[in-house]
Amino acid sequence: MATVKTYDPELLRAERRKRENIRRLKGLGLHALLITTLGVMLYPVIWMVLSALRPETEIFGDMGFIPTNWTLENFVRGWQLYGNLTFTQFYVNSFIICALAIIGNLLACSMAAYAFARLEFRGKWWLFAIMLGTMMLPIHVQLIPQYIFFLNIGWVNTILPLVVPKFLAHDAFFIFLMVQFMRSLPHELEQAAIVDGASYWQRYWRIILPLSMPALATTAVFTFINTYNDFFSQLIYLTDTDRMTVPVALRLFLDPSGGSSSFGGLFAMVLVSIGPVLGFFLASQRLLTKGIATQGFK
Amino acid sequence: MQEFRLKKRVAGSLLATSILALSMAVLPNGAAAQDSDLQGEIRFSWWGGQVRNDKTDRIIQLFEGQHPNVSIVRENADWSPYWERLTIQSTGNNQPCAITMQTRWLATYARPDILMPLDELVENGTLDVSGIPEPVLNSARGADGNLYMIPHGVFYFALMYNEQMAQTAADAGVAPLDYPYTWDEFAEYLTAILPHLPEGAASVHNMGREQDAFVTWVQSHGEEVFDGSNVGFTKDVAVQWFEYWEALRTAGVTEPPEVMISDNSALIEESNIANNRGFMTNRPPNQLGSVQTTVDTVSPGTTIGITPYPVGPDGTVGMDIGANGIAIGASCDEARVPVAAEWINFWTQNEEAAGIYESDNGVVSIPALATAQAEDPDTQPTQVEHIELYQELIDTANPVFWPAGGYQALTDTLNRAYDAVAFGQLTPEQGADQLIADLQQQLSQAAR
Repeated sequence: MATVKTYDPELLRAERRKRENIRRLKGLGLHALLITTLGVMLYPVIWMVLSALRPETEIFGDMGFIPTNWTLENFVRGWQLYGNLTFTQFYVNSFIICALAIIGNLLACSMAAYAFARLEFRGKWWLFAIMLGTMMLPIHVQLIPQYIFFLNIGWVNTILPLVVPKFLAHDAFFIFLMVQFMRSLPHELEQAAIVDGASYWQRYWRIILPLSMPALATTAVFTFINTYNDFFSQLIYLTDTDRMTVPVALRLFLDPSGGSSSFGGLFAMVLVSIGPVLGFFLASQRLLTKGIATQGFK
Repeated sequence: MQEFRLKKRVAGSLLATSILALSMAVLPNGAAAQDSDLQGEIRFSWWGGQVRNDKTDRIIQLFEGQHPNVSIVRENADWSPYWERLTIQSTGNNQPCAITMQTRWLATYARPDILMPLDELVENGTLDVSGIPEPVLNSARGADGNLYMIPHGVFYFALMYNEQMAQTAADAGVAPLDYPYTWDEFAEYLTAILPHLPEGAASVHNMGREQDAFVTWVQSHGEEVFDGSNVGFTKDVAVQWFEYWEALRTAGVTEPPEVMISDNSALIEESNIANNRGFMTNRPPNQLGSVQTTVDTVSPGTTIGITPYPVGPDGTVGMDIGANGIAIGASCDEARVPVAAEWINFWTQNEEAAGIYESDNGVVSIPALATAQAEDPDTQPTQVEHIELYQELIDTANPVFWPAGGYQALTDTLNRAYDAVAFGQLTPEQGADQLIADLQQQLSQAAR
């Protein structure tokens, strides 16, 4: 005779509550761990923000986390680096270089990528291999020959060495990124355009480029971040203080050779200088993640 | 369609912006020529932070005010990038006309194809070196005997200590340390003072890895650090050096090795002396004002004093001195040399300029100007102390001739060797062998 198994509803509810409590506890523990990790990671940034907002003399003197005296003096003094030099000039210089570098990379790298991805021509794979090979050349090998070359053509102390190469598809990484993306686009779209009589240029400009928006956005964001943060090239090519850029100017607050350093001004200006990168990143975050999701992990 | 037109307009305006910006970038930035005896534009480079940059800028403005037809293009950078840029510029023969130089780095650049030999300009009176002491001027000569820079500031290394901690120890019966004292007396004093320091504070920063202290040790023991492009000291003196600091470290007089590494920052704000974590450390006295300012915020009422390094067993003073000055780039064309020379004369000889600079990068090289600064009631007391100690020690100092790459090589190899000794990986004998072998290898490489 078959026995009917009966369940006590109270016992079931208690069991469910127990499981729910364990789940909640696990969630709580996980969140506590994540929040602690976040706190540890953000602590230096928060400390820097708060240090920028306290008087210079209290940065290393006041052991409290929250400033006792709040001030914007560091921003005022930091902005006016020295003499007639202000960060307004450095931002203008940085933004001009960044804008030109982005335009250059988007145009030139996408054209080179289109050629590698969609066209057939003699020596294509050799050229592609050479292009990839240039990514492995250390900067130290290129530094002196490049400097002497740019010096000989009279480009030192202008922004030309920093932007003209971008218009000549100089960044192999971005070409590679776009090649990978363009290869994944359906060939039928381009074939339809060929049937309609579209030229190479029209196919590139009207079909491939609009469809490559995520890859272009990724290129734009990384070009901006790389160029905006580039210290060494800007240091050696832009020698005149009037032409200095933000990363080079930021180094002038500290004097490890023994003179006085201005940490207040440094923190304030570092804080301000993060703004454009953060803003650019947030504005293009959607396209960027799409670009990485569709391309980055192939 | 409308979207396509819009994109076309955006693309068009982006291209127009690029063309406009590119054309702006290639416009020359030279100053217009004006009528004057002295005219032209020179590039002047220096290193430093915000305070020094501001002072330098004020001196340039003063000079340009006195020479309205002269323009000085400012090129400044932080310490390390400054040398990196100068090296790259020198490879392309594009170094500035007036280059701030330091004796410790001079040998790397002291070649007629990088820096202009200045003896002829001194002989014909274009460069005015009157008042600069002969030993200081001679420290600006290269290995070939040519004068390559005109020193404007002389720096030296000494020890900084917390005056209140010294007083507390003295009150408790520890006999004060009166200069001149030997290295052994120094060690005895540091050991005696330890029980009277606040909890957790070390008597002295472990200087086993500090090249300026090591140089003083070697010279005070009657040996040379370098013999041309070779190592000049013996293994014995290096072994004794490591043993000296190991004895202090194991007795708890210095900080432990891991703290020694983390305390090694060049930034004053991170130093043990500025943060009340130690009684004594080695720092260039031109940093005294900055250290005092930092201490004022961390521990109001604490004052920092300076004292010379110990002397050798027979009383030999081993202190090295160095100089910062201005050199003329070999690529500076003939028309600009008089401007560069006048600029150097102004920087080194002009009282007002010296007053603005306030011996910021070494005590002003002309003794009369140094005395005037020390006597000026507006000069900071720390700066007066810095100048007075310099005047007391300058006659006994023993400047080192640093071969090409020697400064960096000694710093790196000594750090590596002593770190290995302090962390127990090498014995002092093995550390000394490693130091001498590595240093010799680097010196030979740099001399090629």
